[in-house]
Amino acid sequence: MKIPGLSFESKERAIVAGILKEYSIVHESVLDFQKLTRASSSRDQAAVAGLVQKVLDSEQASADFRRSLSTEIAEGAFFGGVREDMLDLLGRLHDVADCAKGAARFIGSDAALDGFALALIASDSATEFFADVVGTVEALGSLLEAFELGRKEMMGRIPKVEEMERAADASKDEVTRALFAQAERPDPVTVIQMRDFLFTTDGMADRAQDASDVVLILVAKGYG
Amino acid sequence: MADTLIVSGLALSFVFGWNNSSFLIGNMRGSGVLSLKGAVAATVVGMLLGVLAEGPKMLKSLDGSLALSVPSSGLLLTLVLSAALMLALTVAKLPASLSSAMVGAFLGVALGVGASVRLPQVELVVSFWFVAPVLAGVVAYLLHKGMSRVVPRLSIVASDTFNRLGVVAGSLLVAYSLGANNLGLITGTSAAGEGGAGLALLSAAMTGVALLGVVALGKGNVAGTMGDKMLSLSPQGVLAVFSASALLVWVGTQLAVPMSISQCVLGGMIGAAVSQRTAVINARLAYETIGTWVVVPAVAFLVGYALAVA
Repeated sequence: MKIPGLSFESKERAIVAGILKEYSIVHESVLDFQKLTRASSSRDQAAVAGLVQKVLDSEQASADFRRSLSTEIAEGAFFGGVREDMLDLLGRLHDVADCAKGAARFIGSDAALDGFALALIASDSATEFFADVVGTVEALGSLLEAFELGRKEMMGRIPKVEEMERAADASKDEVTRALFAQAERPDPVTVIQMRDFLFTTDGMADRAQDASDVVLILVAKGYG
Repeated sequence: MADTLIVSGLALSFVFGWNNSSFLIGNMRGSGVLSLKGAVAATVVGMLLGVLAEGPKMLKSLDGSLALSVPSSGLLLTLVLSAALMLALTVAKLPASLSSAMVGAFLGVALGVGASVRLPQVELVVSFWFVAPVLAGVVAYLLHKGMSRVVPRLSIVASDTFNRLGVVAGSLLVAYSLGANNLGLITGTSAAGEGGAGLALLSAAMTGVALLGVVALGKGNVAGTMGDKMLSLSPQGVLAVFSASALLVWVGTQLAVPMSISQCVLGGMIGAAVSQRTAVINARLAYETIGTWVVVPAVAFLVGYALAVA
């Protein structure tokens, strides 16, 4: 049976599956970024170059997939209002990959070859920070998987994203303090670039939390 | 006279469609669930089924029930006065009740022409108008409570599907009940003894003209007053309100009582709001709406009486 303008579950299911696919692309870019920080710490320049390219490719794949999925959503699916939130969610997911690209570009640049920068990226506090960022994005992934499980499960997973984002913030603050607490001050341009790098990296966790806020709105609208 | 009655009935149907556009297609369009074509198609199906299957139960709701032997000129005056009143209220973007305008005008005209008014039936109609919104509130409350237990267990896609199908189902129920009760009332008052295929054809014509009012002029301003400005409800709340209101209008149809969907919707909204807890009610607007329910039949009665006597 087909009623003009009314789609039943198949289209919506395909879109939710698409959002999970978009997440998997974004997740891959974030994991590659984490590998990139390790390769940078071990000064493996060949691996660094390869991983930077992988992060850039993932971001491009995320942008392309987001565009096609957005078109599909805009053509008519979901309840009014929910449709816009789905588009918003896709945008936030892509923003995570965009931040991964920005941060990867720094590691791939000459500025990251500075001894001070290399040491900071390899530090324990930075390693913890990168892990917290990945943890936040993975908490978002777990939340998106709960789309199948109902309101209670989704509401239960939203705080985890926030908790991980706060942990990422705290560890970023620690790395930032280390950045400014060096006895021998590095080149100011390097300090500024490193600071931007840390904030861009933290942007992955922030955008993941933004995405979880959109999910909260979806829950409120969809379940009443 | 028969032709004039039909033309007046068609004019009233047009204003009725215009005034009720938000109840009929507003939700389906506003929620983006159906295209305009789809929403109109669903409304056609609902209204036609209603007016053809149960509209005949309203044939004698005015003449033959509330009063006996009102002349055709009295019925014509009832239709014209109701159409004028509905038109004025619709232009003023106020939620008007077709049934209360028609009943008020008819009783005024009936008294004016010296027809025999049946007080027990008048009492039944008026008391049902007071009871129906309360019952709609109770039914909407129970329905919303039930839905709020089931829907949270669904996946996000399933809950979205439930909401979308709920909008269509709720609108179909409203279209059916309005077709049976209100269009049945207009058709019955205009029919002048028409029956069989002629009556079915007239019912279909009334439905067509009402839809013309819905599509050509209805932009949701009137019933939008009820839905958008008075209260914010979740999609499940809207489904509960629409289902409860349609049920009460249907019960009214079984008793041949002309019903106002807006009265039931207001009662239902309050019931769903109590269940939802977080809803915000615009009390001033609610009082204004209740005020029009009293003022409209009273004005229709007085003007109808004055015109009939004159």
